[in-house]
Amino acid sequence: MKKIIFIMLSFILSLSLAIPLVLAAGGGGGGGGGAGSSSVSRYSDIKCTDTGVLSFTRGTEWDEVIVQDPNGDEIIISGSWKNGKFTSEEASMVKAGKHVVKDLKYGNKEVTCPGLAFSCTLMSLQLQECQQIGGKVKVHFVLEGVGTSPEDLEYQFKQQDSSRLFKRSKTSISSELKNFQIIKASSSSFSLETELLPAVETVQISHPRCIGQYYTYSKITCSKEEKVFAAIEENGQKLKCGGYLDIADRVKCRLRLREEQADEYENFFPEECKARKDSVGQEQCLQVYKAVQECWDFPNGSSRIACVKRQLKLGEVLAERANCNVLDAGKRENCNQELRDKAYGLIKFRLYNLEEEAEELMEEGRLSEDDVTVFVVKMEGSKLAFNKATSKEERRAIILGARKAWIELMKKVDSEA
Amino acid sequence: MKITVVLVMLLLIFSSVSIIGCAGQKQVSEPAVSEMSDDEILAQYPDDLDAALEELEMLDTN
Repeated sequence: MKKIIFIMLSFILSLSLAIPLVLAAGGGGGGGGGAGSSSVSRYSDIKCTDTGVLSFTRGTEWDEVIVQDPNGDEIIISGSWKNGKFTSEEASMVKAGKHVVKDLKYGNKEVTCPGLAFSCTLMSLQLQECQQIGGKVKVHFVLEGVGTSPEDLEYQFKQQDSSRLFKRSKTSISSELKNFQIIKASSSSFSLETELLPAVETVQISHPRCIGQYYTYSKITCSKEEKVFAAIEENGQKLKCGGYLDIADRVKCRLRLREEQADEYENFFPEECKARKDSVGQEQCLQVYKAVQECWDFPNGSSRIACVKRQLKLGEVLAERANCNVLDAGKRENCNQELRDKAYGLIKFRLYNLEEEAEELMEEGRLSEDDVTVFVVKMEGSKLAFNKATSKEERRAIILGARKAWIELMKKVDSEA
Repeated sequence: MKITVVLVMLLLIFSSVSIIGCAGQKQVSEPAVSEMSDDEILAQYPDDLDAALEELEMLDTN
């Protein structure tokens, strides 16, 4: 009897210890999945969206993904693989209904698609003209594509000789834009009218859902005359991320780029260089950015900073300063100025480095795209303010402001992901 | 014998409390913003900006 009681006691004791352990492990284990899709079981995440995107984890990649549509026709789906997960291009799955992923190795898999409701790739947006006469702006544009509506677009007006933007989106409108209205001229042609007193240089129309790899936006210069001159429309396909009027859009666009797009020149035009109005200064600025690119290959820390110092030809600041100060008065100031430029370049790189760190945390799924966008915009603003600062105190305040923004961002890092 | 019964009862209560306790923990959502102090945040996610402040200090007086 005693033996039976002992066995029962042991069983209950081990059960009471084991259950909490198992539950605790389950809670923590969920976070691990965020790092990659290797922990996702085959086809468990299969999904078909109303933008026509098919995605699933299979583990092993395929050369050709073949899907049978609801009519029984087989179609080859283009897309990309990352960590064993396939993601099709937009607008690949057009029809609504049951589709079958034809998999000879692991067995066919069914997925139900809602049908194509909207796609950036099928959307066409083109500004035709813009006039501003007597405080009234008139804009004509063409919008085509499945599920598109002018109400979903974002309208931005850039003030002349200023970086100030007046915006209208589905959810907000700048107070300067009075009596804003969109008039339908034909099935795909629209007119926009609004009262706006400050002189407008450029108007831009974009779709917030399409910022990124699809570059669906259009820009045009606004005329101040009755007779409309043939202003050249600039299309997002050509301008890419660098062409958006708003820095937040340019940043978000870059964050959403596929790896192979990131190096494209139009996508890699540093905000700091963009702000330089003189072509010589802009070129010098670009050279610095290009020179430090190879430093990203070094791990974050002292080796990366050593690389940046090498590229900037910056030695020890105190020693260099001492060398400058033994020169003749004329040369001394030039020498000190060069040293300051190089050291400021290193300080600004440290801010740039924080942007990259934040982006990595976003890619790991530990920070949201919106939080990282806000942070990157702040850092770019800090670099511009640093360039404009006229005293050490101002520069110090800018660095401390960047630290504050970093801390605020890091408080939002999801430690479970 | 009575002691054994009491022990069994205690263990049953203990294991029930453990299970309920864990189930309760699962329902509590994670805080969106960390409660860590600024220094703890910087220790976990260094910003390397002390070096920037030093470089600024070394450059000149103004």
